[in-house]
Amino acid sequence: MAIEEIFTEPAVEQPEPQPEGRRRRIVVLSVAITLIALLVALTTWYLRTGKPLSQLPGLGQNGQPPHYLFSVYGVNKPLGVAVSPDGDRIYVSESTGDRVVKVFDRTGAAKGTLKPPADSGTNHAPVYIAVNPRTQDVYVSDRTTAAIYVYGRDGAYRRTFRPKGDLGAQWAPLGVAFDSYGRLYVTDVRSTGAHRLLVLTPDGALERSVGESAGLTFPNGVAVDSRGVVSVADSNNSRVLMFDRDGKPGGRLVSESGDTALGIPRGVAVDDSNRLYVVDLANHAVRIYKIADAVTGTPQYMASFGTEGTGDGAFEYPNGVAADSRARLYITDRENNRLQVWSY
Amino acid sequence: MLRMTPNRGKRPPSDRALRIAVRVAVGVLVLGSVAFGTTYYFGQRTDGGPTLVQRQVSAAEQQVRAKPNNLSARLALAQAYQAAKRPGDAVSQYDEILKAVPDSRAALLGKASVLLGKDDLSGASALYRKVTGMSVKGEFAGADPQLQEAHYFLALIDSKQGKAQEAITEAQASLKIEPTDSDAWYVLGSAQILAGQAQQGVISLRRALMFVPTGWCDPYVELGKAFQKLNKPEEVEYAGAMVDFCQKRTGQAQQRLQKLVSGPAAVDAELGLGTIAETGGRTDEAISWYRKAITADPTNPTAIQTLSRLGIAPTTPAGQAAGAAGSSVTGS
Repeated sequence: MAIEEIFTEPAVEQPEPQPEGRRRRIVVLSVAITLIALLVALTTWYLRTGKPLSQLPGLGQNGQPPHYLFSVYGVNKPLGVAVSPDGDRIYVSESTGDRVVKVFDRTGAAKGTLKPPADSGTNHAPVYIAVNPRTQDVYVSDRTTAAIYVYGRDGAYRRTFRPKGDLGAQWAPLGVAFDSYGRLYVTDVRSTGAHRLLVLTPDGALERSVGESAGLTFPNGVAVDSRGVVSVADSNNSRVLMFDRDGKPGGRLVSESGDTALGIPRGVAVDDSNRLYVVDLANHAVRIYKIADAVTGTPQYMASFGTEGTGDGAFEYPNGVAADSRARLYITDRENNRLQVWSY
Repeated sequence: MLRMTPNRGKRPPSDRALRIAVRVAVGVLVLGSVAFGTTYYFGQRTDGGPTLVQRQVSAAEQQVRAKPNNLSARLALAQAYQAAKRPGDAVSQYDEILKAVPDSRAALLGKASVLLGKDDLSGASALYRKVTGMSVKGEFAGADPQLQEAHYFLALIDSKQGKAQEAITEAQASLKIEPTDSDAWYVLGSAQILAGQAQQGVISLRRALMFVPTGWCDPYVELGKAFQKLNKPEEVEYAGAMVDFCQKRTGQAQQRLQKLVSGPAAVDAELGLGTIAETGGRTDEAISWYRKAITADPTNPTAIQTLSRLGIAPTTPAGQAAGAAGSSVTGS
């Protein structure tokens, strides 16, 4: 091959730079536009839910337990906890000290207290708390006065919730929860008659009494999922029972051993990803279950978190649990005098 | 080449627009990502503040500052330092208490536990012996938890130092006060094996495992050593399988145990398979294995205790039927 040919031939065969650069720019532009679209979708999802990225649809249901975030101190032997749906207000009941309900914001800064009316006496024992999703009013069960006190979102006492008829003279309300229609579910640990779950309309009329034949023994926490299925912690029977919206028995969680043991289930909560949380007081842990597709199905065990101790993320006799719409969990850690906040 | 030459110095407008569009898109993407990252960070960020232990230390320090001569406050501070993993500060506080009250058992035990944590075995041993020396003839020595603690840790230290006979004596003294202390049974069993008493060692280790059958590998490892000394290969295999189970190799453990259910280690293997099934939430299967074990060995304490715990009466077929009914009440 002649020297001239060596130097001239490649110049003739070299591809045109302009179309190739154009193609490259089109590819880059397409990728960038796709990524911008994804970023917009991600930002919209985040601004709407406030959830961590681990809860992106398709990622958050993999059975991974949540992780410890921080603790809120300054509560005396806390029992119950409730949170406004957006997580802006956290309510925690104290079982010693002032025995009031303390209010915190999402960072754990104290915002005030909920105090029963003066004419209700001085001996109070607030236990479980629920926030009415329709009015944002806060309902607090009181063990010693056998009453449910209602407070506004601003913390002001509004009224004492009383069931209609003579029911209020016999009941001993403990666990409280609302469904999306504003119906109030109350576990009744009355001293005369079988323990039961009461379903009350917003104006206090008894809609249904459930579980009297199920042998409930000191039912504590109660939670209602998006389908209207009610989960009740049947504490002294070491189990959680489910009832459908008509009060018919459905699934049940019974105590197994190891990670699925249920010593003394107390607080229960359901989040908007259909995860059921059960606080096991005796095992110092929180069990997580995936709610079954069938209304009568038994939730499937997913994971547990918590061990006994005083360190961050360890519990000493946890009792109450609440979940907000930002995938945060709030657990009262009674003997460590704190509220723990966990997230995914 | 010639046909492209006219375009070289003059790009078509669409090409320029494309170039600008790419730059804008990349810029939007970068800025958007930064904005999202910042929003996400501040939205998810939490400031936990001091931990519970740090708070306890601060509170105890305040108490001691307010009342320096209050020994209870100083003891609380020493314990808080210990919990906060500040052994030097903890020892200083225990020493302050011991200066004022040389026989303070709480301070002696506290300081001994710090020294033990620092592997100062002889220093810790001297303090524990001081506690046993001053308490062993006390009115409530038979039910004295501090004395039991001292005996237990002396057994542990003696065992670590290879003083098998002394360790046995101390562990037995500890168990006399608290017979259900699985840790003390374990230390006793290990010391007995060390002293050449393998058969007694097996009995002690089985006691330890009766109280804590899962999640604790050490007793199974020691059991394996004891069976080796007793020349019992099937039992060695059983202990090895249980170590597998303990170390989360459950399938392997089950396979090894299944091979043993017809040999001399059958009862152990059945109890092991029962434990694995129970831990996996298969209560009915677990009960079935425990029943097989108790049929083969009606006086086996582990089988009796385990079935009783599950609400099953282990003695007669009638009792078994009643037990099964009982188990259904609890939903098993």
